Amino acid sequence: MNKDFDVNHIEAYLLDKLSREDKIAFQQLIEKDPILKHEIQFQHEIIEAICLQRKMELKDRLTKLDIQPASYSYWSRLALFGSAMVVLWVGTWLVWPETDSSTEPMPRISLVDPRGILQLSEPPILAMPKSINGAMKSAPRSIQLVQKPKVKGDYNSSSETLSLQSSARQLHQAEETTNADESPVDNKQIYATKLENIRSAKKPDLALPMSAKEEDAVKGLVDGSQEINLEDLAAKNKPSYQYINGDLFLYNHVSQGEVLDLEINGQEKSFSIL
Amino acid sequence: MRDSQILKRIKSGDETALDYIYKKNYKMMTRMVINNSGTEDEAKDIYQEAILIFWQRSKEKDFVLTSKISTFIYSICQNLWRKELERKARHSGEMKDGKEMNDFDKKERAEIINQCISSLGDTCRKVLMYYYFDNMSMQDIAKKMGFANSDTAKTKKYKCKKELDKLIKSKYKATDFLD
Repeated sequence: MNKDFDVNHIEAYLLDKLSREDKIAFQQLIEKDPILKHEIQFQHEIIEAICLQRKMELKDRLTKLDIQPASYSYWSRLALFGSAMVVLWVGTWLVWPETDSSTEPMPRISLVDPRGILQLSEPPILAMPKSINGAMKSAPRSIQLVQKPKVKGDYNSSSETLSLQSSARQLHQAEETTNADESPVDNKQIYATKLENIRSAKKPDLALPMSAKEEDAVKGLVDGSQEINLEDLAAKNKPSYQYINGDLFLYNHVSQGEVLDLEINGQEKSFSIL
Repeated sequence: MRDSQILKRIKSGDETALDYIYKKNYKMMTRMVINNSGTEDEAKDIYQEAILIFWQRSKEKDFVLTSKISTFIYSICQNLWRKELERKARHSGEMKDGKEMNDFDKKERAEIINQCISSLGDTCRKVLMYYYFDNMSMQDIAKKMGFANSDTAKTKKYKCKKELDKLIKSKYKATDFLD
């Protein structure tokens, strides 16, 4: 038996460099020759020891490198806390800009209307009314209100606005009068169709029944003969907030969208919703 | 330094590249272990093991890195730490006497082999380590050690190994390695 060949073959077997067939043949040879088997074990332990020493050398090298420990130190925690406070402050400043010297609470920002936050001259009424009467059953619980900015001439004098407002009022009335002589379904359908047309930016269907006042208002706005001074409207109808059934509503005659007529504490008021 | 540059340097056996990636990824890797019920020392051990596995694997001919080096090492750390936790849970009791005796003999033999390796010359020791642990080719060993060519490196390695075998066998008879 060639000893040199055996050592090279043994090394190739231990380092897994033999082909599959050679490996199987060599394993059969190992089973038959106990001296070969022990030589393989001896070589295996030598190679293992060489690898272990090299590993220790490299680990020793890496351990001697100058690195800060991974556990959070007092100063790094303080720095983290400080960064978090700065981010919080900047975020608060961006979302809630400074107000006047008066302590007015800011209204909620509507995600639908990005025209910004408005400052009210009067604080909102935060107390819950004792008795609440109104057709709140049809109103959704989570409603966000937006007031148009108090800018002169910045009013969207679309002919659709008034029609929308009146159509919504009529729709709501139609829903309430379930015991009316006229078929509530018919009325409801008519006004729902009118509302839908306006919302989908189609021309208001003047063929549908509208009151004379409505028609005049629409025509006036379309041809520009009728102007609406927002400041006058605002002066007449100062906005205020009220809690109704746990939700905050904007009480305002100058509004877009649907209007709900509610009776609150014996008074009938119009509320706008989006 | 880009990952491709680091890998190239590691394949050629440049240990400074190993130092670089060790320092760069130290906190990320060790924090993973610390955040998973490990200590700072355990985290360091696991990370060093992982980085040496990467050191060895990167020199294989068919090795292809399909992710960032840090991602690769992180996954090795995770596997090693998971195995360590399983091992801790399994070996919570004492070992049996028979098994202890066998390990003691093996440890004694390993100690003698280590002494013989240390008694070799510096060149012989390095050549054997680069060949068996670092998986370096004869060409890379020749370049690193300053040999003329790969054949010179091959001959040097053969002679060093033969000398080591003779040294160890002189301290033990062949029958001492029988179980």
